[in-house]
Amino acid sequence: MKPVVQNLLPNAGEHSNWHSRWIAVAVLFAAEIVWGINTFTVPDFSRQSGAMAHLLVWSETALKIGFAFAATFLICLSRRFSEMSADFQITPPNHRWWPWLFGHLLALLAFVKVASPVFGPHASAAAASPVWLASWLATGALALFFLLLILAPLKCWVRLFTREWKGLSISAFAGGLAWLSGVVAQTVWRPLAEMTLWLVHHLLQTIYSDVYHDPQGLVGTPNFVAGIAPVCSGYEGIGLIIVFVAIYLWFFRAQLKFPHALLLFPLGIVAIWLANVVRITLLIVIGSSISPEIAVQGFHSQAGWIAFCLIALGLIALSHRLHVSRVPEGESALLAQGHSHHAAALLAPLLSLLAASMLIAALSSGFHALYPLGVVVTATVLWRFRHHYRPYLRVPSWTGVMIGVVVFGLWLLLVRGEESQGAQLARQLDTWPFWLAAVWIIFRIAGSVLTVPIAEELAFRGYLIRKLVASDFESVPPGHFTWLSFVLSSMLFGLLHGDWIAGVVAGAGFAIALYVRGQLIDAVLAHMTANALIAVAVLGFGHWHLWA
Amino acid sequence: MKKLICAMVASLALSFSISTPAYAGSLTSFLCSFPLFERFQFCAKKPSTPPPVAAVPEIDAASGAQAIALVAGVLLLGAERLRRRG
Repeated sequence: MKPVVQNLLPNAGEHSNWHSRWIAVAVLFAAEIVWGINTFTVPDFSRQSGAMAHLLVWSETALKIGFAFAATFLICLSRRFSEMSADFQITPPNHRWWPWLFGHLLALLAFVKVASPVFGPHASAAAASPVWLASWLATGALALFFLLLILAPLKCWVRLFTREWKGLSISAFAGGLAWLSGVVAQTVWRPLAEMTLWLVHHLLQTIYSDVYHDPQGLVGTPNFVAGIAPVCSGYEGIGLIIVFVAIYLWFFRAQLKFPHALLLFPLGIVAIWLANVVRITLLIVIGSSISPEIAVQGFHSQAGWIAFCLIALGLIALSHRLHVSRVPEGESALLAQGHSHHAAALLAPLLSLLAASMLIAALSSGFHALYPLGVVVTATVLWRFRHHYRPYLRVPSWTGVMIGVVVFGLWLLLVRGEESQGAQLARQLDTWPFWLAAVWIIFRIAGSVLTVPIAEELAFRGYLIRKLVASDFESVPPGHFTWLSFVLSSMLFGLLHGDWIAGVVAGAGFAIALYVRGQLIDAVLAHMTANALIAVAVLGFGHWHLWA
Repeated sequence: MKKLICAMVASLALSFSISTPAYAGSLTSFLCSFPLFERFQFCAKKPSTPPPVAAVPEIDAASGAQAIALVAGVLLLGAERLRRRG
């Protein structure tokens, strides 16, 4: 096995240096953004008068347009990334990045200092003046400029803009159009909400005789009423499905027939809007006739996302049924059960765990009483694909255990947790008969110590971390290290967990466990150890918030 | 091709049927003003005082991450199947 440590050294090849620097800058920039969002607040400039206040109201809009531009830039120019990165990789080896890092940090400090009077903890719109605005923009632009120079010399950036000006112009136009679409969507939420309200009202009238209906947006029964807010009117789901279909059509365009495949847009929009109507109706039915707590705590949060998943996956399946796919129908079912290639064996356990978790949460009132169901589903899928895991069954080492202990310690430090949720969990178990609570706890331990670690490690360290190295992931040995696969897989692992910072750190720890010997079993063991110690902390020391 | 046309017609019909009732509120009021329609369910009088409204929590972002991960995972499986075929 290629020594992993060698790739971590700073002088391990120019290519490795270039990648390392870009990833480090991306992480630095992301950390600065997150810190800025958490530290600064935007005062209500709309209540102020004057040109400065109006200008700063529009700054939030400019930021949104900037994000839209970045997104469209990534989509429009994704096919040229390999050429663009090759261009940057011929950066002179004597490019000194550390003076620009120093300059960036100084400029950032100045930017924070200037921003504090207006956006800081004691934010005041009155402190904004033309001089302040010029200073704010100048220090921000300087910080960004120096950040770019850390990555490559100025001439590389000039060369990039000269060559890609058409793509950048298209991206800017598309980004503006995307922002404008969002503005237009916000103006039509009221008619959409009224249609949603009308249909929900009539659906409820087929079930209940006494249905309350308020033109202001309230609908329900004497026992339970829901308000159709903008976020519940259906247009957010419509936006979500439009984005999904666009991404699906883009990445699978070689396998789809056009313009037939564009049919997925209206079908998806209609389906998601109808699903929203059904969701609200079911919410009121559950709240009125079953449990208001389940309706408010569980069902309301999950049902929309469950509907999105079903419709998204349904559209994929439909794209094959409607002959909008170039792939022969006999081999076209993406969701067919029974195919046993290696990627399915690595991903299916986690996917089944996610699906079961969403369903369990939708049927809960904050306490996941049906958790054992998720354990059974995941274990069944793991059993189904058990023959594919033989190459990963090796003698484990104590390294995995030690890393698991370290991850557990860091988890305790980083997880904030909500004591109220932990207390609710303990209270709920207290109301149950002893034997029932014991069964639930046994399944909770089995899930967190066995099925969850195995499912997550198979997906993240068994598949994703190798897929990020090469498209043909089977050819990548499990212990092969690259900075991109290490950082990105850890970040994606973290995003799947409630406390994402702790999740990223844990993901990085489990990846390190994999890299030490190149054995997936070590990552699994590290994950199992960490979760087992969490179970001890919960049951032995009463830290129920760790399971909440 | 027939399936495609049927799907288009169905989606257009659904779109039309959804858009038409946008003004049905006023149509319902108009119909219910006639004694002939008063006895029907859709003309039932609503309660004069609204029942208590429960505050509903924000949609959980973590559930969104799970949903997106689920859909992305299925798309990855599809891409792997195509890669093996190709």
